Amino acid sequence: MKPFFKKISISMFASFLAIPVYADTIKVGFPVPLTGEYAPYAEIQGAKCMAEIINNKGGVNGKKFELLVQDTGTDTQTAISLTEKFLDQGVVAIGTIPFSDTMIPVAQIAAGYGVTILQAQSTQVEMHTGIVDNFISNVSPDPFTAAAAAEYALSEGVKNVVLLTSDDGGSWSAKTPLWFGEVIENGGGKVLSKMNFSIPTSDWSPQIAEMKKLSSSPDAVYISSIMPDVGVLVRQMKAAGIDAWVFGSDGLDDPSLDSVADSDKSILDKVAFGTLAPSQPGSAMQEFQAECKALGMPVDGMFPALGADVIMALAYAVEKTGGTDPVAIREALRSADSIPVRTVESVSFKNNKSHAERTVPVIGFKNGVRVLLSNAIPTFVPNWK
Amino acid sequence: MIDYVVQQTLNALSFGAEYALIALGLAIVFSIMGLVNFAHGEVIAIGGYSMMVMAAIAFKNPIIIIVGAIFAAVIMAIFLERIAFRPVRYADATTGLLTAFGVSLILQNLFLLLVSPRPIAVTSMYFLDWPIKLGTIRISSLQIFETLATLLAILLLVLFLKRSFLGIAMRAASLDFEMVRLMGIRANRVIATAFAISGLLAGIAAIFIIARRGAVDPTLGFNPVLKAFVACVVGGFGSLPGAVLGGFLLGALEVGMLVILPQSYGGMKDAFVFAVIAIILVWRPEGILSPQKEKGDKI
Amino acid sequence: MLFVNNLSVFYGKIKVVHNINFTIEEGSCVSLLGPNGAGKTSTISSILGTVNSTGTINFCNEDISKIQTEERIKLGISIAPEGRRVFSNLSVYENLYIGSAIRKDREKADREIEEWFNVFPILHERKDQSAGTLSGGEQQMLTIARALMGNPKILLLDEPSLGLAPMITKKVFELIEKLKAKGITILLVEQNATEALKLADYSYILNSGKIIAHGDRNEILKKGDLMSSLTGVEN
Repeated sequence: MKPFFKKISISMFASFLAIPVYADTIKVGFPVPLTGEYAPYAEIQGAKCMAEIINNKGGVNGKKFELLVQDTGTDTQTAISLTEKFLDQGVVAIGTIPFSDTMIPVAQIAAGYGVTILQAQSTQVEMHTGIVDNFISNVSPDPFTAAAAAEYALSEGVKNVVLLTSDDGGSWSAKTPLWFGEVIENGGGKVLSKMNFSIPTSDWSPQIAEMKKLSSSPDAVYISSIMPDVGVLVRQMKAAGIDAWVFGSDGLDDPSLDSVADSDKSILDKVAFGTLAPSQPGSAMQEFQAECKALGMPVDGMFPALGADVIMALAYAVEKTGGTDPVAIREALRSADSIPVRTVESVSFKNNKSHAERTVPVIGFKNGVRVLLSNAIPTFVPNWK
Repeated sequence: MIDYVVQQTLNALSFGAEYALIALGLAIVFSIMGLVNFAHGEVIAIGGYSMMVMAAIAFKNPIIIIVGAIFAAVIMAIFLERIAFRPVRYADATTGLLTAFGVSLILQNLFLLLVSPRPIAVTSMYFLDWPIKLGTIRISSLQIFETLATLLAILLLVLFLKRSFLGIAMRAASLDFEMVRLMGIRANRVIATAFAISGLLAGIAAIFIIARRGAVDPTLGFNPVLKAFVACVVGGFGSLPGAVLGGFLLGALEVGMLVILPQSYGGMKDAFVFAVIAIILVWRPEGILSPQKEKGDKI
Repeated sequence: MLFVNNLSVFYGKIKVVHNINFTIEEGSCVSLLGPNGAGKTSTISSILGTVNSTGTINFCNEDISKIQTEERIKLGISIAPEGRRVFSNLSVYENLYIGSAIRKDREKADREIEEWFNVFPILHERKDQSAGTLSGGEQQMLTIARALMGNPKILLLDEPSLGLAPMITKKVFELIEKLKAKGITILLVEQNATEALKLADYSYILNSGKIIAHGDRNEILKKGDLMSSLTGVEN
């Protein structure tokens, strides 16, 4: 090799090395579903926007956020491979496909590096059974959203309920309705019937015919499923003349639900859902979405918006520990009394370790517009562990 | 009790009508080129997305939206045939099947990346849906429209296949494609017509699906097509009456299982449905109405 | 009318017809004879463009060797294929109707269908029945009629007597005789060399993809033993 070329190649090699060296950054790994079945639940838009906001202000202790994002295509094996790659690059935390069959193996690999799976939006109860220690969810598990909705229902005088369950969405669609029923019964109400459905369902006529057949008509129906399916249920119940509340979980928290009221403003008056963060007009989330839109980084819906909380929590921990040691960061998160986040005022991981203690909003509608019906930590939560 | 049975029977009919409509679209393409077109679902989705676009650019007239959506689906079906399926026309059946799956996957991800992974509201077809009371039985106008549209589509399709030159050529092609070419009839024309018809059926299905769901998302058509595929298998793949029969049978089975099975067995619904289908296939391995000897005899 | 020059046919890399040449004059009946697997049907297929071939095929002063099958049919080549291949799910009438696909003169074509019904009353009797219900001989008549509905300049007949009872075979050859008398150009591919040689003005003998002899009936018969072993013709 001629000396001249040698020189060039050495300097090229050096500049190659130089890229990671500049990295006095806070790296967060996101092997997330940008495509595939779970793409709607990726937190990446909100995380990116919040990182941008913090970086624009100079970062944390002079360190800027660097998000490593790659698509898993909703495939667990891809998520695992990408996790290994990101761990080698020195991430402080990881967010991934928000389902236990991915989160558990990913957490097990990350544990070797002391890195935490900090999940923006995971409500699955399976993650809190002690199977892994390095998992933290930014939200409360499903029993909390069910309990919050049930407490609101009881306050509205709901007595007789019908529960729609499905095994297709795991415990989220199978057990959340039962927890709702438990809180209702604890409050003096009664579960009239349990009925099955599949995900997806685009025609609820058979279930509605079942409801009509019941000896006493229900005051409320509870379902934990997805949009637009639940929108169809609301319309078909109304058409069938069943004047009952439809209560649901975070699956209803989608802008397409609001559109159900396009032609009939009153149709959503008795629809409400316990969810992960307030999303009505004027809420912190909507302000955040407006801010991001102004930055040219649109954040569509609640699940992406929750990514902001993860970045803020990490910013808090980095500031607290003064460094980017992943184990220290996890300990800082779990020892804080209160950590400021974006979609609610604050969260705390002190009591529960693996999930946040935070207020659980119940969102309803007035004249087709979202209103916050209640926002508290529920008082009675069924025993779910 | 009688009312309840009548009500659930009507529900089963309207479930079946939707499956039948989609199954017909699969069957007409399969009968001619032996291709299981899983991308049929994405043709339905294109119908849905076209309605979203038309609503966004402020088309209010429902006739324009309906015609536009059907038109979009037909164009999409012809387009897919031209760019994806024509190059593998003479390859073996597995290649065709994989191509169809690939096209389906690519389109779903395009919808996801270019539009949104989340459902987008399209409420312009809500007007088709209002409750109708017959004594104590309540049905939705949509159920009636959908069943009638399916029956009408079957009737027109039979007339087309029996009376028109291209229709007769398509029936001939379903039996012996090369021989049709040897009659001087352009293969491309016959196949493009089959795809155009499947697109038309997909467009009609899209209208009813959107009228009920009020939203489009990337998997809008994929799941119904899986059901329609089952309907085709049960009815006899490639047989048009088989597709219709299979569709209605599957509708009846699904509603039946939902009604009969106790809640604690709810998760087993599909298992029971498929168990019945397995029994049918033991009895008739080629599907109920599959012609005994000649694959693809359609009428 | 049809000049085949240096024609080879390939299935993948295997060459089944080797550089053959033959000519068919307008109004003549030429037969292509030879045992099973000699390459007769492959030759027909290459004229139709349904197999890969090299060499030139000149039809009515046009090189057709590079154009699509459908276009070749439109130029006036019709086929009554081996194994008949009637559209068994279509009615007898529909088979004839499809046969006239390339015709522009619809009314005349409809009249011709009626004429065929006069020639074969059995087809008329069963015109609304599916063609699959016809007997083998009837299907062969239908196949030939279907091919002629396209008003061809040349008719290719591939093994018209195959699998038919002697009585029926006789009828088929009578029909071909009539067609020949009408002045229709015919390429007849047959294993039944006795009958074919009687009919044909000129014959080519194909074996293992090569033309090993050609000439009129007398010339062929003179070649004696070799011919008899290949074609089953007894002297």
